[in-house]
Amino acid sequence: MEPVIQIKNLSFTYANATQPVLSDISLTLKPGEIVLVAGTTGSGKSTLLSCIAGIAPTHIGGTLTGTIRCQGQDIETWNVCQRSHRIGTLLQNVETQIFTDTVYDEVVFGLENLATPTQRIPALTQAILQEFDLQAHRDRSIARLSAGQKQRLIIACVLAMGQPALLLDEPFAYLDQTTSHRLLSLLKQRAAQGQAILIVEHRLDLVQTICDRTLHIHQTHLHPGPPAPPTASTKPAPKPTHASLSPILQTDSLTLHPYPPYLDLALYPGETVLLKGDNGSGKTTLLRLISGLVKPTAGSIQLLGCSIVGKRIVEIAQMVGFVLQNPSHQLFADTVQQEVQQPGVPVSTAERILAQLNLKERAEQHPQSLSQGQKRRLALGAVLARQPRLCLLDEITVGQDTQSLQLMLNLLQTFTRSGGTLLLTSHDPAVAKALNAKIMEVGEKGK
Amino acid sequence: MLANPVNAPKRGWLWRVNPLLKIVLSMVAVSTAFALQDLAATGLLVAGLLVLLLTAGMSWRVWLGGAIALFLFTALTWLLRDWPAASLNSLRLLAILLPGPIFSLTTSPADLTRALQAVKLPSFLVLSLMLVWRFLPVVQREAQRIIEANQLRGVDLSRRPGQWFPGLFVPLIFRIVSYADEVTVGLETRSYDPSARRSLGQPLRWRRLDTAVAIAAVAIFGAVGYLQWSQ
Repeated sequence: MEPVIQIKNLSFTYANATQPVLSDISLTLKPGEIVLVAGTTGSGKSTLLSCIAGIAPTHIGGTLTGTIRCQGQDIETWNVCQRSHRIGTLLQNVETQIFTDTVYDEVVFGLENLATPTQRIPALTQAILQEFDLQAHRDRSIARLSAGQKQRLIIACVLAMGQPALLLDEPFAYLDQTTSHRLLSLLKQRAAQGQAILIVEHRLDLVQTICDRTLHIHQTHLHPGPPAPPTASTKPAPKPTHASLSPILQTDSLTLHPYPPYLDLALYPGETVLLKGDNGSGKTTLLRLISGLVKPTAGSIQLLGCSIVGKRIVEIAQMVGFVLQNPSHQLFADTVQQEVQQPGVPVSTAERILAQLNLKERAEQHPQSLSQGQKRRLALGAVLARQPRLCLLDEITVGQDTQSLQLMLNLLQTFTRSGGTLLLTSHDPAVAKALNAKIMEVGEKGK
Repeated sequence: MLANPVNAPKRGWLWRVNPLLKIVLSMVAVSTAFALQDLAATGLLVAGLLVLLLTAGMSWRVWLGGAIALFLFTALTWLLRDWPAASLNSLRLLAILLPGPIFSLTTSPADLTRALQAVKLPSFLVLSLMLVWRFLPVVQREAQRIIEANQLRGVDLSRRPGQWFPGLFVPLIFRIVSYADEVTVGLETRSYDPSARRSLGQPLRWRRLDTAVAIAAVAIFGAVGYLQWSQ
């Protein structure tokens, strides 16, 4: 059987870099095969997908050597668009793949680009919307979807185009459990129909159930099998005792139309609560309510016994830290060191945090020049340096490899051990376990 | 579950009007506004446009900002000339400006692309307009997120203009530059090639609503013309 994708001796070196990020990679992807590529953050997994899709070196400067063939044809001279007719690509940041404003139009957009006959488009669109349980939302504005819902939509758009090969960069990052399982079975079906699928993902436990082979990139080379588990594992944080303590945060009948009312929360010093719920169930919105960014339609929020009604966001921020989904929005300083060492933060604290997050060597770099995973760590460090009483974390573990995640979990454990309280959202079950978090359902399930 | 954080506003009838008809009517309205000299005729045209804008669902903040700007313009013209000139010029300004927001608030990027493709506009122009249409709300959203991130860090930009450059403009420029690169890649991975033939998933059709809108528009423009040129 002719391979769909065949890579031989591929090496890629970024412009201005002396060492290659990928060396001598050879990989064959046959029809119906699902291959998982794992590896640490920054190991070159996404670069490998970029090389196959043609993004590198066209849009990411660098030198590429070796051969890439698709269905027997040499595609090195093909641009991204030409390759996309045979290779469907899901990028890590799906926001950059959205070009229309409604769910239906977005699916249609890709089919129109492939010049799919007009009469076939409605049926294909309906079918994919049904497969992804998006039919009832076909006219919904994309701007109002949550991160997980947008990811689900773009995966649907890519699958609708039906190319023989699929490259998926962290397709499960923001997906809830139900959608993750739905996607797993859909990918399995697609593979059975002959599509070849290459997945880059950190949630190995999830993807390994359907993939035929697991590979990992280590020190620029592609190796068979999953990566070695990290040597130091985190001991679950001890359960705090709060018999004599007053709560840091208390919510009462909190409601924001049109979500169902949230369960009442009472968070004590040293406690960690994980918000669990389907995509779009209102987890991020609950964090935004607590931080004062959104005003509730009913109910009350008390921080350290005082209502937040009438308080400005900057006043609430003195007690509450919030690490956003996209760290690029909250990095403002000229250097990594300055980002953590804000007014009132002792030098020793800043240096300890940078060391704990393995960012000390990059202290003089500009924060925006860091990789996405490093930015996430830095944003967390910058928030915790201000020593908030309560820290809100929105999907900050996305895109983190095991070691990087470990560094963050260690810092968070230090925070809770010193009496800090955590309220976080994450679809990664390992996080809840490591932080010994109490789980609270949000949305219909939490009623 | 696909719950919606905020109720999606129901799209009004203007969304369903053929985008090409909307483009033509907008151009006619602007051209007419330039030619009008009669207060009653201009008033009628503006009244019609304001009714349409009301159905477009513009936020009250924009209404308020627009009203203040219009008030200042009228006051300034009154001071420089006289009241009849001030009122006529203000109405003409409204008639020239209003078709823009009415069109942009009731036309999706996909509809705009289809309309431009249907009139065989050069592909590079279709691509440019599509990206601008998509880009402006993204910049607005990014700026909002950065302002919020500042507040979460204890910096209220509205009270500290000295922080605008490092706190807002620098991260926004970073986001815009990286967005421009990323979106080009995103567009190509979705197989968009401005020079290639595309099919039309929802071809533009002339519906009864379009006929009704066209008849109503002819009636209004006829009345405006009668008021302007009959005397």
